[in-house]
Amino acid sequence: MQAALDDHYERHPDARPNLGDLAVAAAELDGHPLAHEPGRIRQAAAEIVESHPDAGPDDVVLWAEARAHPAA
Amino acid sequence: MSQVVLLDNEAVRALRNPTHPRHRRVVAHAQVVAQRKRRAATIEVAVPSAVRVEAGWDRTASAWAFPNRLRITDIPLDSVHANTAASIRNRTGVPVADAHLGAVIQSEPADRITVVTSDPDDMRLVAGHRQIIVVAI
Repeated sequence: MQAALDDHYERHPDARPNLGDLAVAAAELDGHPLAHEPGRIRQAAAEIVESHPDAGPDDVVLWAEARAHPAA
Repeated sequence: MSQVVLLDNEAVRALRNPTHPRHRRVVAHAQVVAQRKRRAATIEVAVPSAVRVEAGWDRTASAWAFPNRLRITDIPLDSVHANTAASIRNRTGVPVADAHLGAVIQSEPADRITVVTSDPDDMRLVAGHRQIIVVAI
């Protein structure tokens, strides 16, 4: 499946989702409450790549959740 | 937890066509599924056969090469699904493809069902009492 996606990205670079796109998609697939706030998720993606360049979409959703509900 | 991601007609069309305005969005969902599969998550993408017909998805046609390679499972319109789909269609008046989607939703054994669709209201309608996650594209 990944090979098909990689080939597709090579032929159609604009089709490649960025980390923010993937994090929004991950939240949507899971019905996460933050799926309704894609801007917040994209902001978290922009922040997390600065310190964790290998972060994945689920990491971003967790980070966005932590930012949305900081510990008291 | 097992999860199935079902595609409706518009999601299938968007996946096939790189110029479709929702193409990148649906590809993002496929990419997340691929990444989760690599981590051994029990997740699959599936399409009811009536949806595939409505979208014009001919697996022997080169135009569908990309979706064909994504290991998207066909869910056939068997006798049981046909009965349920007919009942849904009689009750709601939705198109045949959406009625088949509803029949699949109502019989799907996965713990979590996500539907990627351009028509969230119809998906909730055909889902009946089954809880689903709706991704509106």
